[in-house]
Amino acid sequence: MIVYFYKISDDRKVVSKTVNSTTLVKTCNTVHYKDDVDILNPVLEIAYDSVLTTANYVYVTDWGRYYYINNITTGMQRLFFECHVDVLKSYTSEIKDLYCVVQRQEDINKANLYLPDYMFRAKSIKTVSTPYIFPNSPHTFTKNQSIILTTGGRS
Amino acid sequence: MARQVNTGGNYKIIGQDITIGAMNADPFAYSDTGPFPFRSVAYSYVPSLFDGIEAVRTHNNGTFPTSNYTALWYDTEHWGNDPVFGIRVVYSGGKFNLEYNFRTFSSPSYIWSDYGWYKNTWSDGYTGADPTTITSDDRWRQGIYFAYMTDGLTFLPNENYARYVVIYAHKAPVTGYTGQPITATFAKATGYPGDRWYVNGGSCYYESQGGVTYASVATGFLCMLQSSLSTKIETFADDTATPGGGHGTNYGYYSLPVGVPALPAISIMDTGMAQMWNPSPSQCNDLADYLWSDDFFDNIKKVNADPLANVIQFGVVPIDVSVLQGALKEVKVGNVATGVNMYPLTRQYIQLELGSINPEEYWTSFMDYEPNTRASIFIPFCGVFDIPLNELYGKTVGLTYNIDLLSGDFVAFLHMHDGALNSVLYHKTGNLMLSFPMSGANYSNLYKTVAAGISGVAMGAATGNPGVIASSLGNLAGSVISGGSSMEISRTGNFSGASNALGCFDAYMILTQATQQYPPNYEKYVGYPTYNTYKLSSLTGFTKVEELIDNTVKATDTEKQEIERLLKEGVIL
Repeated sequence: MIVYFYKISDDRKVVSKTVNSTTLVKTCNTVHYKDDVDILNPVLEIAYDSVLTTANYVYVTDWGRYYYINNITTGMQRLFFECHVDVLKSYTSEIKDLYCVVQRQEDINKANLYLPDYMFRAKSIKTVSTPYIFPNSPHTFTKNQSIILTTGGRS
Repeated sequence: MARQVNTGGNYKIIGQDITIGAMNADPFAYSDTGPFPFRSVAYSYVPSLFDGIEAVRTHNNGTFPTSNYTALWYDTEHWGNDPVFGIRVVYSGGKFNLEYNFRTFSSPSYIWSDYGWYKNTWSDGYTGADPTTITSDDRWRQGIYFAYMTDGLTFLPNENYARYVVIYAHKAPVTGYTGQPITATFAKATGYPGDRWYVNGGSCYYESQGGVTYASVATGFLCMLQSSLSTKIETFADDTATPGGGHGTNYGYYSLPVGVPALPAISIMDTGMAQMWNPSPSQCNDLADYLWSDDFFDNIKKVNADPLANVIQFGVVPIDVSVLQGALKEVKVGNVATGVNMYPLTRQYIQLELGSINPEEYWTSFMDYEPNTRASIFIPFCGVFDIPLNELYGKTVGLTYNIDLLSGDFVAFLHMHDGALNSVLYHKTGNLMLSFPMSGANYSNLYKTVAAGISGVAMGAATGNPGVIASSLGNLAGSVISGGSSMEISRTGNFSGASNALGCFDAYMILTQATQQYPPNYEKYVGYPTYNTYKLSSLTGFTKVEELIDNTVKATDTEKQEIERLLKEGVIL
């Protein structure tokens, strides 16, 4: 079974992680796995090679999947890699074909900024302003004219 | 439902102002062959009660003129080969003023003439006065003939040539009018080279060909600009969720206008039982001198025991009432001539317009609305009132007072106007008269009023007294984003009595805004609210999924569940 060992720096959230010659640590074809292996959480076994201890990511050709290396143990001149499948990288093209109702997105052009953003924080500092004044005030109310009401009115 | 079309300026429909952006050098590129698409730019203000303005043109089926001049349009119905541009105003009730204006010509090589107004047809020559006021459902057309000389057949763009017709049509000031709002529906036509949409099932249409936008008429709308100024017409189909929108197919109810009511037609003066006067200070002095003169006592003691029995009320209002003055005449008190002349008031009520404001969003986001931003309006002689911001933004907010000069009581109307809404939304009452005691009984009443007014002016929590008109900013908390709550603030107390004269006379808006705490690269780790449907391949960057439409990934069920979980937690595409 051919296994590619990588050393990647991408965050786990990244769907299409960078796996290329730059991140490749070593390609091995003498990797074994224990009986009754869980393909989604396999433990890979290989002869001790200090170079491989720097790897954090693998691709197993037989299974067509990428894996995070969660833990590395050693014993009896062997290395044991406890792995967990990276579903995002393993199924990148199919994931990108999915239609979804998107809750949040990085692109502001896709955003509706009128939706309340409960992730936003506002400071306690408030700004008070009087940006608008009705244009006909105050001179409307500065005349001060007297009104007298008397009895009778016809004459 | 019609869509707002994105153009070089800001377009709104039905009752809203239209702004046209800067014109390019040659917006009137034309073809020698017909039919001529509509090229004119019409700028107008279309009131919501007005059925609209049509810019009418017909196809060219005549002979194009010689090289002496080049015409913009052709109309062979009446003027032969002379090109015309018709403006048709369709009346739908009410009373309107119609004005028009044209950009002037200054080049000596132009030809222009005005064929005057035509009523209901292109062929009748109307000989009446210009229809500055339209009061019936006639169709007035103004035939204008544009032409310009060129060097050969080369069009020389020059700002001094006819470039556009500016059409104004606005509702004349008339009371008691109610009209119906305009509706417009679009139906797409087939068999045309471009996208053609007919308006209201009639013969008017918009058409887009090769990025150029045409319009045959603009019933209820404004005419479209050329492609150099506008973008292609957006689809007129039912709304789909788009960024910044997401609203559905129904814009909600149309609003019937609710205007500021007219003043009462009857007043105390009509009864003949009393008369209101508007004296100057010197006239007040003269009256006072007479009331306490020997002449008065000699006369009035035969009728009344109290010289002030016939002077019912004396007050000062802070407004100009001279518009209601009648002819100067002698004051008679208890039918006794005083020899003092004053201006009588002819009406008891007066209406004052304080003008309008047009509040605008600051962030154009949820931050502009409650609870992050709060708005209050101070109404003189009333107090401060909280107003929901969605009732202010994008609207023209007017303030009108209907005042009773007899009592000093008034009702202040806050009316909001935009394309759909034109109604009074708030009524606030108060009193703006400073009353002066004329007798012992009056004085005790005045004291009570003053005492109540002073006690009402206080900082602190709003009282439960329904007579206290106080404002409260309220609590800006509501979620963790608020940054904490704010204390209840009462910005004013009760205006009445003497405090009326001491209050602020500005009507103004108070805005209280929270300040955003916006970390760098916020969008890369948290993203912006979107709530829309996308294919993930169309997105890049941080994406958090609300729901998958259909998980069609060919993986084990455990893997599919993990895919869904990770997408909902947020991934980076």
